[in-house]
Amino acid sequence: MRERELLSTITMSRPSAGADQEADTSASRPFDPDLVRELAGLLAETDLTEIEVEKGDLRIRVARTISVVAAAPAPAPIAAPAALVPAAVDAAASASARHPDALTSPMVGTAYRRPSPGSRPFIEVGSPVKVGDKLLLIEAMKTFNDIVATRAGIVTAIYVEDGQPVEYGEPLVAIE
Amino acid sequence: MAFSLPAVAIGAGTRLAVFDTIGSTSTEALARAASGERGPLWVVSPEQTAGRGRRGSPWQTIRGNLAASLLLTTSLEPAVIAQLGFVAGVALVAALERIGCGDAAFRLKWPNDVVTESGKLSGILLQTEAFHAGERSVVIGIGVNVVAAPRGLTYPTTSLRDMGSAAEAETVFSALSESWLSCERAWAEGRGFDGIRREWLSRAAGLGGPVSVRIGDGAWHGRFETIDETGQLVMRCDDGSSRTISAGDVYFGSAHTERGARPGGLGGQA
Repeated sequence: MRERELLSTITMSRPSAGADQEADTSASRPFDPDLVRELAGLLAETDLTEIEVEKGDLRIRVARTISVVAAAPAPAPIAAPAALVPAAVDAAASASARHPDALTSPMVGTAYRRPSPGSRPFIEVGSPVKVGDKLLLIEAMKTFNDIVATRAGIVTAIYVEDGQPVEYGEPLVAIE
Repeated sequence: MAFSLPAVAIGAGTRLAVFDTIGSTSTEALARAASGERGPLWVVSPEQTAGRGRRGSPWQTIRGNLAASLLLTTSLEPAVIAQLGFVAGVALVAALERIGCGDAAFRLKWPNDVVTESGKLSGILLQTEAFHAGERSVVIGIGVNVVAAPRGLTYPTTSLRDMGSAAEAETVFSALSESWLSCERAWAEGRGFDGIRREWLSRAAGLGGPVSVRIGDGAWHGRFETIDETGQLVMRCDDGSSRTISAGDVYFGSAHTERGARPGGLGGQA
């Protein structure tokens, strides 16, 4: 069985204000989440793949691509704004840009969600974790590396399946 | 005869913990790391009751064999730490060559099993854990079939005794702990990996021959070309494409890989 999964992106640009000038423009909000939400809703509703709007000097582009992925029981995104669905990653770098707060893989290897094949996963979406808790294992060349939580919180997304090859810098787990 | 460290290892600050019998030398080393031990420390025993291999597989250490785990602490990146598996493999083969066993040739099966033409002689498994901020504890677990090889596995096994050697576990450990030091120094925290890589390649099992790799639900067949500058296996697939492998079930030999079927020759207790 296969299902469709959305891979969505939002880009915003302010042609007249670079990042280093943000302090000067703090009076006007850098972006309007309601507008983004509305556009994302519109995108889903209309089945379009991209909407771009300009408002003053702020340009917002909301886009999605539809990709076909194996129908693993994907964890439901928790509190993901609008139609932003964490999805299978294609390029680690761009994926990591999409999940700036996610814990990323320190090496090329294979990710495991369980200590051994018959055992329970270290974590599930919704698991509370504290600093130092084991989240995953990454194997490369018969070296098994523990990936541990670097912050306490709740696991909101797990981006890898058990036994999935991962690239350096690929997002692994989000904790909020 | 008792387990002991050569003077050169003691001089380098290495310590030794010997157990007459133990669950797992690597588990013990990790437990010590969790309570603050930084090493370098060898945990050694001639018998394990709960030895571990790759992904939950058991590793049998029949009494008289060698189970040795080296604990280190490092701030190196995990990708560099993974090179230590090759350093350990080269060090173990160097130790076995020094002990000698007739004209038997010791070969390294990627990444670091030691094999002879009659089967698997040794397995190496590394684990790293982040107990300290910015640093990792590394445990290099090495099992050698000295006096007996486990039987009834899905691949052939051998021991030094099977091969006609009278060597004891203590002799093997002494040679190993000494060759480890020189290999670790040559490796120089990764700066000398190319030299380790060349040593490894000169003893590689199955180089140029057929190889099958299974990762998850995917399987690839081709020829084992080399290992790259990070230690990954480079294979030329049957369709002509090149593929680098960092982890997976790897089988050398002509038989293709099916789950559960382990083509003979150089499979792994891992």
